[in-house]
Amino acid sequence: MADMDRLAVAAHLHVLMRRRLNRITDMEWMSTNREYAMAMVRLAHASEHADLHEWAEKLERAWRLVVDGTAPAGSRLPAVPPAPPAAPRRYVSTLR
Amino acid sequence: MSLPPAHVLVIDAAKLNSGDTAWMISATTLVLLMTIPGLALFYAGMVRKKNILATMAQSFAVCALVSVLWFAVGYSLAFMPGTALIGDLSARFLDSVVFDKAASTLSVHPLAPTVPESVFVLFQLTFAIITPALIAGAFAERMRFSAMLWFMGLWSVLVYAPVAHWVWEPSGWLASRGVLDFAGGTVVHVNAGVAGLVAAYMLGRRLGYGQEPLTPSNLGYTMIGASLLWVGWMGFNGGSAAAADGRAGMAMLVTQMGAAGAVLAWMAAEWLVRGSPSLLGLCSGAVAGLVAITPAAGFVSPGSALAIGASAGLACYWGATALKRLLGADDSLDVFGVHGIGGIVGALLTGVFASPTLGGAEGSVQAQALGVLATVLYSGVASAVILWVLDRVLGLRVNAQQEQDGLDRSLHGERLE
Repeated sequence: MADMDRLAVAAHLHVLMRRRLNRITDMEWMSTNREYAMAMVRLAHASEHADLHEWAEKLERAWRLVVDGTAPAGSRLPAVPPAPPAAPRRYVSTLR
Repeated sequence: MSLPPAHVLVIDAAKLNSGDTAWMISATTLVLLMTIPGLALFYAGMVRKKNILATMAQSFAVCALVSVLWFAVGYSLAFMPGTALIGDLSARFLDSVVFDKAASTLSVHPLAPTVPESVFVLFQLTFAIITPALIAGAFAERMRFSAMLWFMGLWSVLVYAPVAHWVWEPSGWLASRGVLDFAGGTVVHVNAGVAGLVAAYMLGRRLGYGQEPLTPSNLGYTMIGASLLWVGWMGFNGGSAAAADGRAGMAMLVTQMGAAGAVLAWMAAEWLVRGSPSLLGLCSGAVAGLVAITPAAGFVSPGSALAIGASAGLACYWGATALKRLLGADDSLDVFGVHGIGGIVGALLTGVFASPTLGGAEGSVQAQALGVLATVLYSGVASAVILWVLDRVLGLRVNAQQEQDGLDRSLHGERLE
């Protein structure tokens, strides 16, 4: 699955999690970081919403293709997720 | 009809000045716009998306609540003579306001003798509205709506009205000691800033404060709100001349200079310290400058206003960053850092720059410091007592789940998509 497709699945899950759980997620990070994506998948499965389960499975499947090395040729995503960026410090203890 | 209090004059309508009256009506409208929607937007843009509607609801509800309290007792306690500490109740339920169309008579207040008292009451009401509404920024995203209403109502009557009386009513103890506060640097901004800091301490920090970014939802809202505040401030300071005259024009001119000086000073400080100037910094600088020029507006020259604004821009940048970290309170939207510090800087510099030629009064830094100190102490202690009582009786804070869900959904059953 191409990275754009995975991003599209992540976007669906992002919107559903906001609507159903009032949980704000980072959809780009969900499509590029497997650990984060799996954490969100677990969260979605823990809910009682069928549509969340459905899209969580799709995201899980999309990531399995990358991990199994069966991602289609031309995918721009590396098999190993990149290191997470430094956590943004702005807005942590001060607003301004 | 009952007789108006002796303090209020009943005059022939022909003695009014229509120019003054027209300007005061316009100024009143401008100041009301500062709270709804100005402050509501300014604050809503700085909270997280799940709290936008709740933050707006606070400003809107305070507007209605304080209006009714002003009608009942607030105006009388603030602007009737009474004692040096508090006004009497002779104008409760606005009993003092007279308008007899047939006899062509109406009442005026001695502080604004050329405009109807009804206009003076409403103009002062808009100040009474925005002051507690400002405090809401300090406890944003975590206070129960019912506790907020009780706090705002009690604070308006028990803190705002007395302090306004001390400073603005000629028999008030600070007014009689020569404290200068043209449009509310002490009464509005120091008062609200200190109350906000106390509230931030008493409510405790938001979940995740200091550990994760509490990202503002839409700084575009904040810019629109800041712009409404800036424009509305022309009525706030210009209207405080209580006349359409040269002093009102001068007050508006120095208001613009104060804001401009502070925007540039904050921008420069942020650029130097952080490497880039932010829109939020520009907006905050504007408000800081407007706050600081408020007590001085009728007393200083444009050059002094630039100096006051620039000083406030730098001081408030420090107040909202380094001082905030030092104080350790989660003053969510920097009510103390901007309004408290800006108000203190403006009040003290009014003592430095006040020109008898412009305002007819000599400034005294000692008198200004007394005004600041008295307001800080009274507002701090009285706010703490009110909050302590409400915490025991009602509880101030939403529970963790409600806070996590956001106040829009948990308190109001609404949300933005």
